[in-house]
Amino acid sequence: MNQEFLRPRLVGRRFDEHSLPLDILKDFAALEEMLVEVAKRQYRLANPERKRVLKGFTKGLELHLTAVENGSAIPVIALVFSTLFPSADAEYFDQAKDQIVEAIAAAEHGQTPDLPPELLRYFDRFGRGLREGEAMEFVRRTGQTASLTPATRERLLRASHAEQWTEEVTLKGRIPEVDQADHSFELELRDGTKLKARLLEAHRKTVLDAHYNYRDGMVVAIKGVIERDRADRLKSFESVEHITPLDPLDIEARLEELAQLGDGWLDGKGRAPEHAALLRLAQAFDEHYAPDLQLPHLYPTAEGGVQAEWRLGEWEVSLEIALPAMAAQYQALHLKTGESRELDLTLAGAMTSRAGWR
Amino acid sequence: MTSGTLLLRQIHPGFVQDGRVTFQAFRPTPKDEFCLSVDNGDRLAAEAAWRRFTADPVCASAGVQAVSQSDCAAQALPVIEDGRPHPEHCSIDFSDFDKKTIEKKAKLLRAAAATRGWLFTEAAA
Repeated sequence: MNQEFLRPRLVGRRFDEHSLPLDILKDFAALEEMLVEVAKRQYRLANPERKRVLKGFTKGLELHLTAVENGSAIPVIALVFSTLFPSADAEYFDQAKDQIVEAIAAAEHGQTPDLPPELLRYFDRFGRGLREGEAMEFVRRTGQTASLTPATRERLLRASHAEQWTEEVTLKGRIPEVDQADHSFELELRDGTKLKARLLEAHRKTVLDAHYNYRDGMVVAIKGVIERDRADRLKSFESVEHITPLDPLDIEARLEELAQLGDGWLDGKGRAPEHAALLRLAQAFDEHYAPDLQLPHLYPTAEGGVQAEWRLGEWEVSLEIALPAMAAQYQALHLKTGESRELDLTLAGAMTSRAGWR
Repeated sequence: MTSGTLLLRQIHPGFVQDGRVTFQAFRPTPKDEFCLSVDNGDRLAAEAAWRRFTADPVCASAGVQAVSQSDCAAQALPVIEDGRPHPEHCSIDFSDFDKKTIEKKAKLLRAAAATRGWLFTEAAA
């Protein structure tokens, strides 16, 4: 038999279609492990005369995903028993759930969570799949909501006294070094930080190709799990899922590069583009720039904006984008005839439209 | 100076992506008072121009490209041999034109410079 156990609400763009990315199921697998350990602790607290939990304490108990409901997405998780009636131990799982939800609520409100550090360390994997702007919301016994976000998770991990923890990331960089004997390679980030990673057979060709083209500036994006310490320093890759070679004109990578510019970047003059505005511009390109269009070259402007340029046959086309206003001036010039076309645009409006940039 | 004189222009690294130079490198910025700084290529080699420019720690250059005096004349852009701040210094004067016209002229200058390619690059230094 089974009984409904947990109905967390997942919030964020990935969950808007009322479905669950398979990626996030890893977090619930980690939650199951955490629940078992917290339930054992609850049992020991309730039975101080016992030094260890009963053999078979968790036998026949499992968490199952039984449905995904709307709103944005609500996975319905049931406690499944192999027996006809609920196990007497099930109450410890209920208590464990409450303890975990209360720990999240405490961290959310800047208070010290009540769980011991070794149990808080389960948040290294539970909540790791959440991205910026996403949350898992749990209902507390009081009816209030406790929200697990990347920021709450970090507070919980800091409270666990862990020296380092892991994060799911996508990082871009070049590959200066491959050690085939050691089955490892290094990813060099734009700021010079080098991160070691295991070289898997599936990635060997891509890694060697990127290494060969290191001097030509070939950039790859690596999706994987990274170790980060309490001082916020990236340490090394724990695992690598995907390695993707990037187009030399990759928009997001180029805008990240422009974000490194400081005031005075142009021979003592030149205003640095605002980081938040560059992020919005990258998002706008990602959402609205039709994938079949030729990628633009992107350059900073002295006024803190970004200029996109295309060469289309004899036409030299430019779009000067003022930031943060997102006001843009389009100009196309035919280099042979001198014919020109000009247009003033507001990209901020286009960003809210579902139509692509054409 | 003759019509064939090359006018050497330092290209900021930010103005280069995947080997392509933006036309911004060939237009004055709003703070330049409509004058684009170049060096007279008859009097100074590209490498020497680059070395002098980058000796100032505030200044960065990925290399040197050039337009000719006749390229400027074709765009009705006077070239002034002002000799300041150094004797070989010249200015291409855009002051007769509005912003949109300046951009068109800069695009044509960029195209002319691109056909000549790099006269000197940082990598060769």
